[in-house]
Amino acid sequence: MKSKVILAGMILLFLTVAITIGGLLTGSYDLGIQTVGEILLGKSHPQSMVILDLRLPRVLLAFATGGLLTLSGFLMQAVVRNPLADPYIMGVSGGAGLGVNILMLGLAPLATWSIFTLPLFAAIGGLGSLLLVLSLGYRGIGEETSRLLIAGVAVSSFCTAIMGLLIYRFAGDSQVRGLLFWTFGSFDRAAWPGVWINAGLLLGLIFLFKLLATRLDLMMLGEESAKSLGLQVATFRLGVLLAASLAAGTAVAFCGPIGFVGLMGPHFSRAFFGGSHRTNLLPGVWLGGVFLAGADLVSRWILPPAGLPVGIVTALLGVPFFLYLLFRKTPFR
Amino acid sequence: MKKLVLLWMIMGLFACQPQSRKDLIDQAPSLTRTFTDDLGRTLKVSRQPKRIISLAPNITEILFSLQLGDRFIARSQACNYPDAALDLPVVTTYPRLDLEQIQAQNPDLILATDEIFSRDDLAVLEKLNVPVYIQTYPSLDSLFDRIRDLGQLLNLADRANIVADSLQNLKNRIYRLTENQVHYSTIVLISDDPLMVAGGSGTINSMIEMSGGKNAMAFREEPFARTTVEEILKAQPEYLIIPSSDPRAYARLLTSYPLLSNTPADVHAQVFRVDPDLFFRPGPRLMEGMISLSGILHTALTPDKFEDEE
Repeated sequence: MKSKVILAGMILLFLTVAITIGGLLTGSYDLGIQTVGEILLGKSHPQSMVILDLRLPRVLLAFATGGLLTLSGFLMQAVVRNPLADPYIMGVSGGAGLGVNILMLGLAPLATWSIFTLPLFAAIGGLGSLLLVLSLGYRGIGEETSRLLIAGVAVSSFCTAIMGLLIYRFAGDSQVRGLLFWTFGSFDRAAWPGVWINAGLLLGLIFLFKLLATRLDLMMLGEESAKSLGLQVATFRLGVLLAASLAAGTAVAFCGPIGFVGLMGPHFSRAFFGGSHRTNLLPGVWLGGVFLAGADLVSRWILPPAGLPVGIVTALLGVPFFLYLLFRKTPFR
Repeated sequence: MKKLVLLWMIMGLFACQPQSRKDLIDQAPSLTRTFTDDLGRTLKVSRQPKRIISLAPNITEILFSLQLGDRFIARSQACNYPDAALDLPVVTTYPRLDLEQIQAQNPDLILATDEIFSRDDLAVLEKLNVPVYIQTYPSLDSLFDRIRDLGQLLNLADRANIVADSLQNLKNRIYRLTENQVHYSTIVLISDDPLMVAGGSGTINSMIEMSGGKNAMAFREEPFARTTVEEILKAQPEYLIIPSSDPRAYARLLTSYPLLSNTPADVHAQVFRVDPDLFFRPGPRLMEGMISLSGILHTALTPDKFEDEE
């Protein structure tokens, strides 16, 4: 087991370094690794801005977003005790999408617009959606958690219907195109404010849930068992779901609803690092970041320079995995 | 400016010779004639269509320049120019066709382009037993051919040839006035979400080149190319043209992509917003778009410079 963990850690480290270098070398300007290295070390260069303000924040935002989505998946799967729970299925992405639709169609009475306006609307939409899912699907301790998933699917579908209605009624050609591309997910607008917010939130939540990892493990035993072992189940569950919503809503806000990262990361991590959140949470989040940053790099290699929308790449990889989960014989751990 | 273009078209009304249409298949006297549209579909059209519907705003503008009068009976929601078009009934509920409304108008010819409605939508129209003539506008020069095609189709060949020839003459005049000027590096931003620019083919590329500019994104082969901030910075545009009806379009663009403020165009305050309809609608007003663009790129070229020399 230990050698397996070391091997997985080595692979993750290698991929992190390789993807970071690849991301910093990929773009319209032909800049060699030596030039990039010099720019990173602070040497003045005409294209310093390209590396420091375009490529580097893009790579870091992709890592942080992948980590946030995976963490969100971990938390949702733990409290719902269902392997298929992720920000998509729990309605967070749908709500965030609705918030973005309202903003982009000019239905919010705003006089000014800053770089934080769109993320704020996405986060509010995601949080509102999750609260609705909780109020519809949560019926107290001991109840079947699949009710939450069904509520998530229903709320998500409802948000999609409202989005369709708003687009049909209010959107012009360019807005339809903009909204369509937003739903594919992209790191085109990566900038340092998004990196600081996503990375800061990720580090804070990792710290928090490393401390609470044992309680997450207790939740996996079932609510009755967790309660009998002294856990304030209702409060803890609500807090975890709110944290998961904040993580997913923030991630979606800066780059659109990128699917399946929150589903895949936790499952791969459990396979390599065991079922306990004490051992699998941190590497799982790391793996999610590597997966998304890698997907973004691949997307830019497939269709340079703008790249294939990254959500398409993650979905192409994620859907087969989702089906595997659905049809596999061994039960979820 | 709008009046200027119309004036040229009217001035040239009696000056030019009609040209024959290449795909007029059947010249034999009968109640109908057979045409092949730009998608290669063969259709029978009345000798003198009297109830015509346009489903494309550029075709609507062309029909008004041909002075169809009461033969033009209905339009799409997007057909908003000239003002007289607004008086016509609307037969679309964007992005869908209102089939009942179309049928109620009892048309004998429907005109459309392949860009706005899908071919499936247009196939549904054919069930109404009304000929649907579909045009494509792949380049600036195709505009003149398509106007002549419409002239043949509507039995207004002489008038259409005059309009097409006067527009073509105007295009050539713009080119003559700008060809010896310095061609400044120019980018036309098509969309901010996703970030798209006019690439090295298609109508807008031709408009830039003919108006005395140099398309800085001409190395991208597509008419509309998805791009990145990095690629725009590398292209170093001296002029940034934004076809948008939103006065805050550039401010919004900078909110999403703040590094665009580092282009030479922004540094030298050479970012201009233009009427999108003058660039995106392949109709008579494209010439107006070219005049406005050449005026931006070469301030000495005031609109009066483009008036007919004769």
